[in-house]
Amino acid sequence: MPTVDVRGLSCPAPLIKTKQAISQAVAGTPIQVVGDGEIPLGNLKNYLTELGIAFKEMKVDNQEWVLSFVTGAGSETPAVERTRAEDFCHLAPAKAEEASGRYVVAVSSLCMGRGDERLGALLLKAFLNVLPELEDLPQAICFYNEGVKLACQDSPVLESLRTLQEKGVSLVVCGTCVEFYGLQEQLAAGKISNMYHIATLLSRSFKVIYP
Amino acid sequence: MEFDLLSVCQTGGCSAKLPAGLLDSLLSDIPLLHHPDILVDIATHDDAGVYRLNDTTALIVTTDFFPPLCSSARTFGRIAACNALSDVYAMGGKPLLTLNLSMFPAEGIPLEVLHDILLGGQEMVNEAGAFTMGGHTIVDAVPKYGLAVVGMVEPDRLVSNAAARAGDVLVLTKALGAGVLLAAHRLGLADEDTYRAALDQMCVLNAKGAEVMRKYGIRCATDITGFGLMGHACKMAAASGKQLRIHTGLLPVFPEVLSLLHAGCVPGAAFRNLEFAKPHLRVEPGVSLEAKMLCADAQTSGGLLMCVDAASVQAAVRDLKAGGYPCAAVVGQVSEGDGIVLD
Repeated sequence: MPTVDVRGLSCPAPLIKTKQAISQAVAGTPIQVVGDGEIPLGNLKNYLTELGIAFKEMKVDNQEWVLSFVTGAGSETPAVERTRAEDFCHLAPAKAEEASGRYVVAVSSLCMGRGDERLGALLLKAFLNVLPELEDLPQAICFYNEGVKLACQDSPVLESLRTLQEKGVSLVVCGTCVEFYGLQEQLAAGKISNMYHIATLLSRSFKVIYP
Repeated sequence: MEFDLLSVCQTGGCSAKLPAGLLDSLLSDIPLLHHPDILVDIATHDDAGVYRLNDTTALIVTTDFFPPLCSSARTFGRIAACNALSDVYAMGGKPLLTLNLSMFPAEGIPLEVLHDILLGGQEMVNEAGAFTMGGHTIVDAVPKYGLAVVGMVEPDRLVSNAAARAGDVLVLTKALGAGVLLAAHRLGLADEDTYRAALDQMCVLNAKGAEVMRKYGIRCATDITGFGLMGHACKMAAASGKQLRIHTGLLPVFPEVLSLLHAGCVPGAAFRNLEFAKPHLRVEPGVSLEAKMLCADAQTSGGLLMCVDAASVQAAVRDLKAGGYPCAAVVGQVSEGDGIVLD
């Protein structure tokens, strides 16, 4: 059983060492953390709770304690990729402008271009499937009006959307539209949001692509 | 060689605050006198107290001091003073008079260090255009420094945390993640440039932010310090009787902070703040743990969280960016209801 020794460390070092062990272990591995002091113990318990990991606590003596737990499938949050730091802040504006992947894609229908609907649907499907392969990924994709259907069950592009999400692209789905089409129960990718968020994304992005 | 102030303390800056919840219960049975001219007292957990002298002038009083959060004495002095002055700006006022509050050991640390702390503090007070009237120094093992500040504001221009209106747009003027970077720096995990940028941001007065509030008639704001965005937003929601929704995807944040949080670099103060906010907090599915903990991260000398009329928000953000807050951003909105929602 991997043992993490965090004795004598002050926060947040015990959390970092524990997280490292969790990240390196395959799911289902039992891990125990040995430490001392009430503050690191409290913080570590809070942290494991936030990570969704159930733990057992054992007091060795007045000072020392052991926390044991099993790494689970749900313990690793893929979140950081979704929110890359450089997407937020222009500390060095010139540098930020050069950064790739800061454009936004707006999907407002089931069609790409105007003309035959079946052709349009094929094109949009191809577009969204090819997007994850691009070197410059968008910062976000906004789905609104009939476009929200592409983020719901039975959408032909779900797999690509999930890949995009894993690669850090946020999928923003218009809540009003989902409600309008009665798809609340069927959302399969992305995050419901409101027009404020969508309008902000569209207005703040230096480039918006309407496929 | 310069003395390393970080070698003498464990928690510095605003994260050294007593947990908000503890303070609440502790103060509940201590009797306070009331007066009709007291415009703001601790009842609304605002940034400072305000007392109306007459129809044109109200006094703002506030104090803040804490142990060192960085190695350099002068930088610590600057940050502590900037942080203390900030409360006056958060009320829409202008600092007028200050007193130095300091604690310093009689032996063990060279006295020049105290000199440098006071020098740094004075630089900030001078920049604010306020006058130092004196101070008080107590012998204590761990150095501490800060100010008591008296500011002025016209009563009808007073900015409080109790005036949020449904439909207002939330604007945050400085990047978040300073607490994470300070903790990471102690462990040698922070990139030097990013850490520098965080310290630099802590030395930026909220004076220009207050000017922008004046220009656009903004009446509700608070400065983000030890209780984190989450804690201060909670207090604002409660004081205003409204709901604050924060779009975590829009939050300005220093580079690296989210990956540090992901790696487990979560300062203890963030858990305390989360604990405090929890009863009033709803986190929508899909919000990452990192984003949530970023909202709970204790800031020192953080930015202003303002409630801005939707019609003027664009211009206000533009002015803020031009006025020395390049990270200023729209981060959410106010609606009817209570508590805060992260999405």
